[in-house]
Amino acid sequence: MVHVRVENLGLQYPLQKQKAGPIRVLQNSSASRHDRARSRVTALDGISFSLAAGDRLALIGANGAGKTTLLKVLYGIFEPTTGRVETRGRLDALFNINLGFRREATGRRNIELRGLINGWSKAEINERMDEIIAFSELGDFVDMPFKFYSQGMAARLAFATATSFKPEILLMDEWIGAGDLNFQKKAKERMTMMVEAAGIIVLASHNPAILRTTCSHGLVMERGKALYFGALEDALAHYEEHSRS
Amino acid sequence: MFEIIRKGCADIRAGLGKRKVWLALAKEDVGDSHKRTRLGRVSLLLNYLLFVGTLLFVFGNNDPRYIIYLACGLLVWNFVSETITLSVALFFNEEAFIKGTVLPLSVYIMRHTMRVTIRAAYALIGAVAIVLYATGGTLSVGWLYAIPAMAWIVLTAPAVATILGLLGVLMPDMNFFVQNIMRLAFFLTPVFWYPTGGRWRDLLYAWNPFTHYVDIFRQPIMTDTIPLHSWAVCLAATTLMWIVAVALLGFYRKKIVFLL
Repeated sequence: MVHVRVENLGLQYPLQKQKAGPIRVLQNSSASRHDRARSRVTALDGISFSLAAGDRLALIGANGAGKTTLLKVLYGIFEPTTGRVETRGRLDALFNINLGFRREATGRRNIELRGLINGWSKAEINERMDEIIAFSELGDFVDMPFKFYSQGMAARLAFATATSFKPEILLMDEWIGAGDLNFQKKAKERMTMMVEAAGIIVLASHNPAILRTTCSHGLVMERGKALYFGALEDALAHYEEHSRS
Repeated sequence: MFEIIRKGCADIRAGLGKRKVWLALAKEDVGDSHKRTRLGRVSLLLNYLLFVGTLLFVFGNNDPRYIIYLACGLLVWNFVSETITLSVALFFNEEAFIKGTVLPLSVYIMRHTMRVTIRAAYALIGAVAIVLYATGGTLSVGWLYAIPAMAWIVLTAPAVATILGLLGVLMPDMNFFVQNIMRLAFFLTPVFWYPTGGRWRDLLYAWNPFTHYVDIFRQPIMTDTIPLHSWAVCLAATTLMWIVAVALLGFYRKKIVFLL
């Protein structure tokens, strides 16, 4: 059965010794060289929750609360420092849907490459190819290099490719959409279909309206810690109350 | 330590399983760099031929044996040099992928090796043509001995890329040093000069690891003999580098994402 179990999850990582940039600003300037080299950031701390088939979890919190980090731990990009994450089911993520698109390659080739990167087999790519091309409304442009695409065409291709799979567990960092008004409507329908078909969803978003239409549960986060986990409305109320205080 | 080695091996196994990904990406990489040129990939072959031609012209040496010596030496050197200099920025260049996907690190390492190998394959066509021209079209048995040498050199590349790629992340200044060391190493390696004459030349020949990688390929073609000493050095060096590479890979595979 599809499930996600997170127990006492913690993630710490070393702060780099940067010569410039925001991290240096965060560092205590009086810290010794030795301390700086060893300074660590606690990105997630003691997070626990459990999701079963049919659960749709909203990650709620201000920027920097750890929502994206938690999604990346669930996906497997970050390895937890403490605690454990157990997922059962085919896991897919919609993080950076433009990743890996090559300017010089045709749309068709880009679909193939993106499919390979996603771990699709040749047969799966071929099976989805026509549907992706039709959905992205590229027509003959699909055999032209990507660099000749308008922004809208590029966005439609990325969206159509990224959403052509049927994950059992779907991780999303913000709701995605693409294109002009017409396409946005299509994109919304497709996202809704995908979300309904998935067993479990974890969605990080700042938009309460989207969370209300999509999610059943909420996890309120602040500075890497879980403040509240429960029904979505209660979680949103908790977050609002907490933000006011 | 055992756990680190196990993780390193697991990453490599997973990377080999994803060979379709790195093969496709490497092919695109090589294609992209010539997409807008008229010469296309032929420029890779012409680059090599021009380099050989220039050195022959500069040194004014048209002895067929020297032509073969130079052609084989440059072929290996270009591969080694490109592998090393491009390795240092390897993981920086893959930052978006490393932070956005769960592909094993070895996918990027193999993509890099494949890219350099495809480029070298064009030079290989030139090298074969030059050697055939210089020998009058006869193929000796030495060519057969050169094939495993070529395979061993290519097999060494992923280990080098792993070590230097990770060092490049840990010490970003590495890029500067490696670029300059390699520039110097070209002159210190018997690619275009014979190791005969003078103590320094002999010392450089014996103690420069690059020499041995060049020699396991070049000597069989030149003399139909197998350079056993050089093979021993190369076998040991590559094995050692692979052990270090697997250990580093096991240790850093999930840490690198925080270091980029």
